[in-house]
Amino acid sequence: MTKTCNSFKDLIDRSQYEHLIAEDASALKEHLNVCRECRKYQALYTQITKAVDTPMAMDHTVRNRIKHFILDHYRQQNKPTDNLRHKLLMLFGRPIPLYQSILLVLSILIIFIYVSRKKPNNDHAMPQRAEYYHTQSLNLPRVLTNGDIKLMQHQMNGINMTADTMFSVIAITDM
Amino acid sequence: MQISRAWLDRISAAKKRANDEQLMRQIKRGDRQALGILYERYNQRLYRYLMRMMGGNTEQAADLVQDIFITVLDNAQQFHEDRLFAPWFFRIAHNRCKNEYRFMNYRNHATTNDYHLSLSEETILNHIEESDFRKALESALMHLSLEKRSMFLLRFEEHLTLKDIAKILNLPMGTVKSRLHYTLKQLRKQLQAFNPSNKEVNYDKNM
Ligand SMILES: [Zn+2]
Repeated sequence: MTKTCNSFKDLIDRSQYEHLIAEDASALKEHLNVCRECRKYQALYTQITKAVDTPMAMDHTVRNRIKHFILDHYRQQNKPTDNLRHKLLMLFGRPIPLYQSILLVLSILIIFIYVSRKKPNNDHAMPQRAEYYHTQSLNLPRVLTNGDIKLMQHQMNGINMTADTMFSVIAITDM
Repeated sequence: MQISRAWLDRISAAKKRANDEQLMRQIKRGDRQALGILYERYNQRLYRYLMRMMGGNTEQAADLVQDIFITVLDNAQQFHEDRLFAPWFFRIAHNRCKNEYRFMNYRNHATTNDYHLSLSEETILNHIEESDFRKALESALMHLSLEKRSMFLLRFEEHLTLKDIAKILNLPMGTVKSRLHYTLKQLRKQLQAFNPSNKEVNYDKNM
């Protein structure tokens, strides 16, 4: 089957963006050797490809300015301490010396760990207490009976107390 | 000191040989030098693409180069190293152009400095210069839709495969082929008067 110029032109179009099958490619090549019109048709594509491929240089100083901007952005992006510093600044409203703060927190932590590790030994050395008051029970209002008050008055030798003054003494010691 | 200098030179030479995907891996790890190399490799290509997409506005193209590289950095962690860098990069660029177009009616602006319409056919035929042809092509490109222009540039300027272009534009391969075919026909029509073969081209000697 012989192809017309139009079908060869279609092949020329297609060859600009995809690979032709071997048979079509060789038929086109042969046709181009004998047909001036199709050669002319193809020449425009050659011209387009050539024109599109010309370099367009960005101004040298602009190119460098952009490069520095991008590298700076990247450096900021890759500094986790800067992020933290920024958050601290937002939180406290003033610049915080980051490394000094970290050292301070670390020192406090070390002291805390040291103290809390020593404590059980001290406790062990202490004589056992007879009784512990539960914090909750200490906060509860205590009702004193007449007998209690008399006993306390007896214990506080020489001081004459009324039930009211006794209450305030108990209240203060409780706090 | 000498040894460490030589060592650094060897590392930087190796980086220059690294492909785009390897450079991206290094950038994800915080390698500033790798970013510098990638920028040198792509800034002119991107600039040319943007210049043609934006109708030759140099300032706008330069601003967009900067914006697009920043977007690349901000999204670097999302780049999968088993994929190719160029299609991913130009997808960002294409989308950026699309957004840019939403803010301005570019078509109207572009036609005001339409180059080839101001020349008579006779003048064209008598003075077909390469630079004239280039200007005519750039003007003809501005008559295409954003998508077709991008498609054409990605194929003929960036030499990306149809598969990559389909991914960038989020279109099926068949659609890319048919639209590219149509675009070529459309460009032909506009550039016909500039065809150098009109002046008689000595094509081959095998005839
Ligand atoms: Zn023919």
